[in-house]
Amino acid sequence: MMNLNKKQILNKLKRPAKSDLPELINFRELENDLLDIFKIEAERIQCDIYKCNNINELTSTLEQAGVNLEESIISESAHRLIKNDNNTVYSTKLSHSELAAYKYGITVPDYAIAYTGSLIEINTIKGDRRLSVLPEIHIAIVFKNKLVATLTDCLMKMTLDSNYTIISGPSRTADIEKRIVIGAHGPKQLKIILVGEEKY
Amino acid sequence: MSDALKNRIHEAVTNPQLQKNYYKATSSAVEKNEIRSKTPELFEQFRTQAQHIRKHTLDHLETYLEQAENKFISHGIKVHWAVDAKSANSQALKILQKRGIKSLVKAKSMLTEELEVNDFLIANGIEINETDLGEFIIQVAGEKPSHITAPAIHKSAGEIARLFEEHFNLPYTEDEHILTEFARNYLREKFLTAEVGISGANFILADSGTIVLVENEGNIRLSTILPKVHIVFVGIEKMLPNKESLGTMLELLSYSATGQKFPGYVSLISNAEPERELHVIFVDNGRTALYKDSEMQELLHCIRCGACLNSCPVYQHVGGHTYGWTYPGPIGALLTATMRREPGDEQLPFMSSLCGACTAACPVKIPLHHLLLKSRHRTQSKRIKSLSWNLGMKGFSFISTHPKWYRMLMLKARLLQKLIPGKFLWIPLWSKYKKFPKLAKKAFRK
Repeated sequence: MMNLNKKQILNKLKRPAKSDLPELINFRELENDLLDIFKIEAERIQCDIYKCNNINELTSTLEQAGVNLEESIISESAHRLIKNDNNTVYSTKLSHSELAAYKYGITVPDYAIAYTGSLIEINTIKGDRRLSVLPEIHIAIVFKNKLVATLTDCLMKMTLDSNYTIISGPSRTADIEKRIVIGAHGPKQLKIILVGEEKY
Repeated sequence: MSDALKNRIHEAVTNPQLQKNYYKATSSAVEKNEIRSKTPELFEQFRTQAQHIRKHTLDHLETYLEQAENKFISHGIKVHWAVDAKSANSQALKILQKRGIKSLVKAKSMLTEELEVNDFLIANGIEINETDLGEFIIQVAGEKPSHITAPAIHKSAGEIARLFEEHFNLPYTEDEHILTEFARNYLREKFLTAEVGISGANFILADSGTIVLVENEGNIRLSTILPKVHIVFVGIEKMLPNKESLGTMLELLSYSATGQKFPGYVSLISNAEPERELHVIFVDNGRTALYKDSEMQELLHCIRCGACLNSCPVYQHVGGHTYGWTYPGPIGALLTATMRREPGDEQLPFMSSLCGACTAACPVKIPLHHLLLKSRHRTQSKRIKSLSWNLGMKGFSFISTHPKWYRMLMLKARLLQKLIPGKFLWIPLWSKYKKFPKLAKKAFRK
């Protein structure tokens, strides 16, 4: 039954004249320091930015950002960075309701895009896509070497074998009279910790 | 024009609250598109590139669809094909019934509105929870969407406040923060316990087999990550060749739809995770017929951004519900007239002054106002027989091409104006809504 539908549809899609795919031009070129541009763009879309020099300063910077680690659920990659004996829960073992009870979700994005102030998370099989969407506040730890200029630059490196999420700011809506409300169904706040260290 | 359409128009333009709501909704949209207002040459380059991407993709649609299907299957995603609404809806129902599912969460999808998925599933005992704030509001109100990206834009905050007060006993408040917070809390429980999530798709990437979903609220992520089963309804025309084309298309979609530089969340789904099911239903429902229509096939390039609606003076005054089907505005008039084609649908392209604002706004350069005119031609296969029309047009073309006669006539008209007041000058239908303007005392050239 399903194959009959498919044949019916595809048979009607014959077309003689075919155009070639144009060579795609990336119109965006960024000149200044990527970190500076990222900070400006991220703040423009209501992210809160905090800076630290290296991972040793991470815990104190999280404190500065008002993050209570006892109320935080931390991703596997973030676990290696945050020295915290209290929290060794691995999120994938939690039910949706249990995970939603945490106030902060802490992740380490795989890329950050300077041009739009965006974060890219690659969701491998072991990863947990819920961490950056269920808890009320999303904390993202961005390393300097993960910064890329534009999405197109990033897409060149990505294979899209896994699931990807591109995050630009906290959740928002304007469905009521086009008045913007920050904080809809996703996180109400997005706090980004920029780590100046070169390698991670 | 049919009486039904005339009545809908009349109801819309004589409703002051509705006029206010739509004015607010559309007035800032064009300026907000910064890439268009601040860097018009760049916008033009982007549009041309997007136009070529879409044309190329549609030219090779069969190849790209098969490529996507193969990729999906190799990644554990189940693929279904549906020639029409009946087929699409019953296949979705089968997936639900097989698992004994009785309720689901739903992300906004215009295709599912077109297919009337909700009505069908509800009639078969399934509970639907719309999660996009705008869709949630109109579900509570029992109405249809009035805009492609902002479904409840025809409602004022006061109307929404009253709605929530009546249905949920929420103390009356027009504060959009409180109303949004209420919806967030109400729907949280639905998200956490739903077994199935239904969504549409903004694009499908052929070479990697990727479902592209764009949003700001986070409801799509929650609807597609949390439930064990995710069903995607997508029109066959929504293909893109590869991820490289995504940069251009996402930026244009974002600017054209909401004036944002980039959408809040973009989900790129290529895999069904273990212990979860992911289904894609490719839907035809009239698209293959449009594909063969050499004049109208460009309508399939549409990426559903809503820019044409926002720029259309007619849409601004009559609103989305006047169009009578799922899609409003210039694109809606054309899709309804050429794809749905129910009696009376061919009248919709006449509801336009052909100003061309839509064509200028379209990110993929669909020549909308040219197509509106072409669609009109299809209804006028014979010459117009009305004597008064033909005489009137002949008279008008004579006067307009003979300056001496024009000047003489205007002089007489100015004299006549002194004798006969304006309110006695009457043109059918036009005079119902507008006052006849006064002629200036002196001609402009004097």
